[in-house]
Amino acid sequence: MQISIKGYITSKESELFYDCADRYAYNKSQNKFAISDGVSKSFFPKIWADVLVNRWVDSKEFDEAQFILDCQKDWLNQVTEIVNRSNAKWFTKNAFNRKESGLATFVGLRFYKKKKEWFWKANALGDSFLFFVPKEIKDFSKECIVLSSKQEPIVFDNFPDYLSSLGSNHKGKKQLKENLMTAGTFYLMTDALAEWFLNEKDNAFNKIDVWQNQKDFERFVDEERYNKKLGNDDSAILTIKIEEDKKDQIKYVLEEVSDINELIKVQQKEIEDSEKAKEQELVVQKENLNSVTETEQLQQFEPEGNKLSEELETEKEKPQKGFIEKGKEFLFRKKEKEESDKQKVTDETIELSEKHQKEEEPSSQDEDTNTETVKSEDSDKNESQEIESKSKVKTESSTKAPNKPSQNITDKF
Amino acid sequence: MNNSNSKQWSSATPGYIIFLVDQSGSMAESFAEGKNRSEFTALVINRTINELINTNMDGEKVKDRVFISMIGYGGSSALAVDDIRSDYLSSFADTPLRMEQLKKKVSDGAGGLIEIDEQMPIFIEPTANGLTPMADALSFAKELIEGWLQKKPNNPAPIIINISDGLPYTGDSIDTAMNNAISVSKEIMNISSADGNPLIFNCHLGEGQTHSFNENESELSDDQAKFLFKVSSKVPESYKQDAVKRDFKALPESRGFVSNADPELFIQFINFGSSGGSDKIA
Repeated sequence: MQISIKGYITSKESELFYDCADRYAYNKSQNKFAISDGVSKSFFPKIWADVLVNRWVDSKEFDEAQFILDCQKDWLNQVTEIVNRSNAKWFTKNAFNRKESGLATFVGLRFYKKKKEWFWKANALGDSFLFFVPKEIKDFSKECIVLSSKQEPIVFDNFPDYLSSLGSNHKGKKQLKENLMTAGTFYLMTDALAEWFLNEKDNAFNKIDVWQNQKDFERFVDEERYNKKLGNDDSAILTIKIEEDKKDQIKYVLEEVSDINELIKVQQKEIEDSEKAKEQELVVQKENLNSVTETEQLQQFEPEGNKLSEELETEKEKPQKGFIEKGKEFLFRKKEKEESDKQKVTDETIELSEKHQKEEEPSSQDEDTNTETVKSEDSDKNESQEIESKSKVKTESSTKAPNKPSQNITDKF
Repeated sequence: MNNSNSKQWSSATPGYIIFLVDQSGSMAESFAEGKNRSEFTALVINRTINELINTNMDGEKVKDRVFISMIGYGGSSALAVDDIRSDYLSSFADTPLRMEQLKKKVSDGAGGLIEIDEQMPIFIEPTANGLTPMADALSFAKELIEGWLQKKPNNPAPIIINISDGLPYTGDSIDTAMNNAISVSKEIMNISSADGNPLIFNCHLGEGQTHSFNENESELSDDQAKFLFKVSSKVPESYKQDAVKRDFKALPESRGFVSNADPELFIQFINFGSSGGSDKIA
């Protein structure tokens, strides 16, 4: 048997790889493969998903009860270490004290030899799926093997079966399948991709076949999300292609698998570089502004508030931002740029139409919107209003205006 | 089936909740649990934001799936409309006004209860002063919604949750104040977005006969409830399952309001209004 493995992973739109709670792992010496989707609303789901897949593929002797206990212990140690850090957030500590748990789906696949033949065995819990597509498939609905603990009719929602990182409050019943190994491809994938796969059927594996690397995968995800064919969720896939070579042993001939930790590192570096470039840009702008100011001073003009220089000072004085905050800004700026490009066209149109309107309409500025208010002793006044009248506060027209213009808020959007 | 107001909150397309908070003098009247109306309102809003933080964090990071504005009316002066605070959720989580220490009983996982220390973040303090310039507050919210949709046309339609203990009152006749509020509400409910019209849900605190989620104005016995009916949105299909889950009757033409809410109904209603219509979070 010759085996080729491909694996790709990405986060939700506008989130970082760091935020992604999907995980996969494989171990060639054990011939084991696993994928897991940490439930978004649970506590440290990505640690839980990570522990599950890595411990599962590395385990030799398999005792399920012990496996879960070991994983739970590992998760708790990692989470306790985070909670005990001096900079742990109040909501992290609260959730830890409330004994909240991490939840995750799971699919595991292993190959094993019995007498002289190779078999595969898989188990699944939750809305992550295993599909096996035989090499010469003719009828998808009849020949594609599907494994998950989702019941027919399959509806994807946010309430999957899961393994819990605390106690025995797992949800759902694990499903198993076992068969003789034949040529074809196993696809292990988390829910968004599984939903897409089931909708696309034959098209799906043809599309998957063309991915050569992580970038191809990311491009595909962007396109399918844009076309509303793929849900905006963390997405991970592990494909294991089996080819007969008439030999007795398994040979791994290709591994093209993205490592989430590497993706996080690369993205972190991009964010740091972008931060540095931003700082350098500010320094250059400040230098330019200073030289302009000096010229202006020479010309005895009063310089206006040096907003940019203040910004730079603030930037310097600020404590070093964490990776998360920087990441948020990085993504925000990327998105803002995209939106501002789109907005430019709209703004120009609006500007033109406003200009046109101004020319046509007389000014309405004279209208007094802050009309004087006179307290009336209206007999209909209810109890509440009597109390309000008792407060004897002045009804000055100036108080009608909000104390902050709405732009202060809309600037934050 | 109508798909409006069904878009999920996500980091890419955050939702927008505007809490309009009546801070008029009458909010100083006693309400429940030894608290007056303004204190109880602040408590419920603080808990709601805390809950939003809990459901949108992955352990150590809060995801910005919602932007929240807390707009007070009355309060700082007779006819004031104040931006108490407007921020993305993570900003609320990072910088609450202050923290309170609480003792809380939780399950010990073995059928018993244990007492734990919990830090309760405070984002809004109670205020009760001045009149009830609800129409001005709604006008301000309208500006915010228009600003939001200009920048985020593909996001979920914004939601206004208006909490008040009386009819609008600005010193003129109540009818004028009510008509102004009704007029602005209709303007807001007619704004269109890719996810349908913005929603206005109203919660009135009081002690008379309770009405909630009615379908016809004629079913209502008092002016207060009739007014709330007029300034509230029809409950969208996408919110009905959630409404039923919280024991609200969500009929085809139900409007999203409760009048004379007691504390329990108040909490249920705010949870409903701030849920985004479902537990789905992308």
